[in-house]
Amino acid sequence: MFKVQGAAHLSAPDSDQPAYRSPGLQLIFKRINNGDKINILDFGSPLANNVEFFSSYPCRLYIADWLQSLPLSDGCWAESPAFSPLFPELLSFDTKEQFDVILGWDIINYFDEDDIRRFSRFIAPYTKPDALCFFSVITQKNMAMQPAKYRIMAEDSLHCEQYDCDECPSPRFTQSRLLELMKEFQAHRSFLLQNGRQEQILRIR
Amino acid sequence: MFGKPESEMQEPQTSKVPASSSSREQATIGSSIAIKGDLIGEEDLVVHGRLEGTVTLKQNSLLVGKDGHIKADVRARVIVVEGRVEGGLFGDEQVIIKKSGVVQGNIEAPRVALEDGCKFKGSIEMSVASSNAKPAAATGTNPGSGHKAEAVAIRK
Repeated sequence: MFKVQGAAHLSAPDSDQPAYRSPGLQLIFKRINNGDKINILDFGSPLANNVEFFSSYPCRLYIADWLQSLPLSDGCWAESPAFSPLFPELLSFDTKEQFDVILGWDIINYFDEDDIRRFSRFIAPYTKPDALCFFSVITQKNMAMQPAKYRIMAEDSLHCEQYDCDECPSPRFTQSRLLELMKEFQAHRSFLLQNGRQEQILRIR
Repeated sequence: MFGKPESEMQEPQTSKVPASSSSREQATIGSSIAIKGDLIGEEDLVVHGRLEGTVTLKQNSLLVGKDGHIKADVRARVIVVEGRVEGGLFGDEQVIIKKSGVVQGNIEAPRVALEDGCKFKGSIEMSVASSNAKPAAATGTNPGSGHKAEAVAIRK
């Protein structure tokens, strides 16, 4: 189980990485583009481009910024106690909000299996029946110790800004394993990309 | 705005309070001052101190300086945050959160600009109708038909 710790030794995200085509994002934008006002929950950091992009659509964008909110101490992800006790504190809404789109990006790669089960149970009540949830699963053997920032460049294009940090083993969740852990969700589509990521689009059961 | 070189990206307002059309007067709450209560005014305001309650500057602008800390719902024409705000930000024209800004609350404004690096937790309402709202300058691959709010990308 890996956990964000401290920003002290982090370098800036690598902005030289090229943008890549994201069929998962394209699917999300098809959902967003249906004309209805929708609620979007973004677990990522507040990025100017993403806010600008969503501003073209009638929506309410909730930025949870779990990358920033998870406990930090000394600059790397390391073995740590479970995150799940923090979930209610990190995502507290005044009212019973429900979302049409949930952008989890790559954060589940940094949860242990028990945290993923609890994460699934935790977000299920916030998820509308026809909502789409986007997760990027690392398929390479190793992954950066820090989750990336995903910058939306176009409806089908993402720019992944990875911190220049050490690597750790990736959990390499298969779709079947992920769905075993996230029992409240079912697979909608998945896309295996050449850049070592598999985009999982999930729906609530 | 995507695809443009950074030099063409719109820069945020500087640390000066955006000039109000109705008044050029500007009040400052200094860093050693703490106020509790409802603040209503008709001049621009710069907050370097601490403010708790509500802030209403309907025709004017508010700048929360780097040392400023507001725990209140804020309504103003333009709101620029360099410091910390806990509460809702309701901008009749624009809300800008600068790189040093830390905001926890909801934003409603025809134009919302976030600098990369700012800390923000909350919601941004993208459906505030305004005659000033322009379509987001984007890639051309972004044909959302419901242009209501404009956000300005500022990458640092």
